Amino acid sequence: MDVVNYQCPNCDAPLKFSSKSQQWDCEFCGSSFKLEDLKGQEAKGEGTVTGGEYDAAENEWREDELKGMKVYSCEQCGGEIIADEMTSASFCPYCGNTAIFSKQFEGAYRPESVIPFKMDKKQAKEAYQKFCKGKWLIPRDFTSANKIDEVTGVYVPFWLYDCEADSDITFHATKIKTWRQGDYEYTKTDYYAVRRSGNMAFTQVPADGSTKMDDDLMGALEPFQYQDMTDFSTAYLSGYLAEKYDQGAEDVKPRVDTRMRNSAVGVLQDTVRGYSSVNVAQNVTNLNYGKTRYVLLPVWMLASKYKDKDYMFAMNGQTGKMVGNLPISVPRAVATFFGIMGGTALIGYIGAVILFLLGGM
Amino acid sequence: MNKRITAAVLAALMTVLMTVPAFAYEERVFDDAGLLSEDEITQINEEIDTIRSTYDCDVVVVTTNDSEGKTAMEYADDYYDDNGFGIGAERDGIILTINMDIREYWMSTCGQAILWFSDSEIESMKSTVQSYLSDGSYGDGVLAWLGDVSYELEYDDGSGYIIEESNPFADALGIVPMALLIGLILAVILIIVLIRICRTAVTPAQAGDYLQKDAITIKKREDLFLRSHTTSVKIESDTSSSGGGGSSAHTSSSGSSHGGGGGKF
Repeated sequence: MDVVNYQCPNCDAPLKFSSKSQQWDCEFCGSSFKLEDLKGQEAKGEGTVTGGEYDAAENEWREDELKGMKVYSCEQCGGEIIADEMTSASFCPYCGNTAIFSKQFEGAYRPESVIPFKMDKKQAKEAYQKFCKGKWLIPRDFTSANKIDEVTGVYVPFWLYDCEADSDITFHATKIKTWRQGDYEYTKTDYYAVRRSGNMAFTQVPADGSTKMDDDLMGALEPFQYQDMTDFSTAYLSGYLAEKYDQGAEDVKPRVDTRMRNSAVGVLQDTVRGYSSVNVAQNVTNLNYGKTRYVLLPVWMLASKYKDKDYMFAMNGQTGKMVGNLPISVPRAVATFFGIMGGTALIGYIGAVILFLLGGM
Repeated sequence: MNKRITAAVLAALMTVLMTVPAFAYEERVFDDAGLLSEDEITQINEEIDTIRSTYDCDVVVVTTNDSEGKTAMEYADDYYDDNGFGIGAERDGIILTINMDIREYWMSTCGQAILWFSDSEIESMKSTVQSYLSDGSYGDGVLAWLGDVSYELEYDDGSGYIIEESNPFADALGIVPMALLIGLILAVILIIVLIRICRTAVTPAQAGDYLQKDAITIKKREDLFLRSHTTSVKIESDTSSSGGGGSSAHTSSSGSSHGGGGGKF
């Protein structure tokens, strides 16, 4: 028998074929269907994705701009950095290697907009010191002996997507009531299929277009304040490095898709009220992308080495938000864990002794 | 039948009547405070004798005007221990003291009698005794108490046990596994929080920051009731019985173990 996955026309739950009744049964709402009821049912996927192609035609480099630009390439990691004529890069901001060479700038789209740096190098260093403070599990010698090896201001390429989401979401929901009557406790569970559909619009959802930059690190820097965004000019690059995107608009879109689908569920689920439990049974969200922008966003990259391991931290060059994964001292974590466990047991024991002593008087 | 035989039988009977009580009545009533009449003492002695022979449980009644600076409990325990009362190796028995100077009474049990008279039984015996003593009916009080004693001995089912004296340090150990479990949960939560503080490189899962709040349209709302399902569970009621048969015990100055109870009157 062919495995065909039909969905219940009433509640969208998956149907099971019963060989006994030769019908399709819904385990959720208890209905049964014949094949002719189900025929013509479209297979429902996650939803469609349309639009969002980047139109580069409106953003061409001007001759004079190209002349004033150099590209540094790292021998070790292959990373490429753009800098203006006046700014010389002495090390690679991705791997810290100093063996970098410059070559002729070529290719790549011209960024449409840029958010200029608002935070300077000093503020980045201060923010990092603060960032390390008060975090119990960091190894002591990391904070005391730790020096930030490199602090680099980098304009990171981001793709910004406008998108409309058209969602049709089915939830399985229950209302549970319990009461006592005589010697029995009764639990009544009412099952509901709740359906919500709606439209919503997202503007300028960002995703970084650099394989060199850790996606999680860049994602954690959000949000950027777009009201400070201005038209791109090479003048902004002075004193900073910039990166050429190496992931196109289409490459990073799936990351944005997922985030918007999750948000759509959240928006529609907010309207499902008064139930004891609500679970998503099916989420069909069609994404219709609008304009896609290619922009540069300001990021301070801070590189640090601890016990031969590289640690990268990033600060939002506009808002000063600092993110990154700090090393965790395993002995400290273990000591803390057992300290808390033992401490709680000891406090509980002493408390119990005191209670017994007071009770026994 | 002649008079001689009658006289001999009478004499023999007299001997028996005279000697048997003298032999059987080991002195068990010590009315130092002079609260009891001759008749009452005789009656009490007879009753005690019956209990002693029937149940192998020694019974002693003491009244005093001088508690020697002891509490009623200490006085009763010591009086029993010092005079070597009790039947059998464990010196089974019960003593009732009425301490007029401190207006307290105490009944102290020893040996197996600690088990025969449970705490709850002692409590009910106390309420019997107390009402008589408060009225000054000492003789009736003692007799009523003896009635209780024989009643409890008659209906003892042998299920008595000693309630272990509570040791707060040992008892509190019982809470340690629970405290460790709570500690474990706390530790796990705290460690997760502490680790998450150190690891902030996380992409947001949603795109809510970029949602245009004024551009949300809900096109369809449909809440379809499918079915209902009701289950029932029988509520188990607690059937823990009251009236514990346990007896608590303490150690007297001589080192022997005593149970019992008493109070003021």
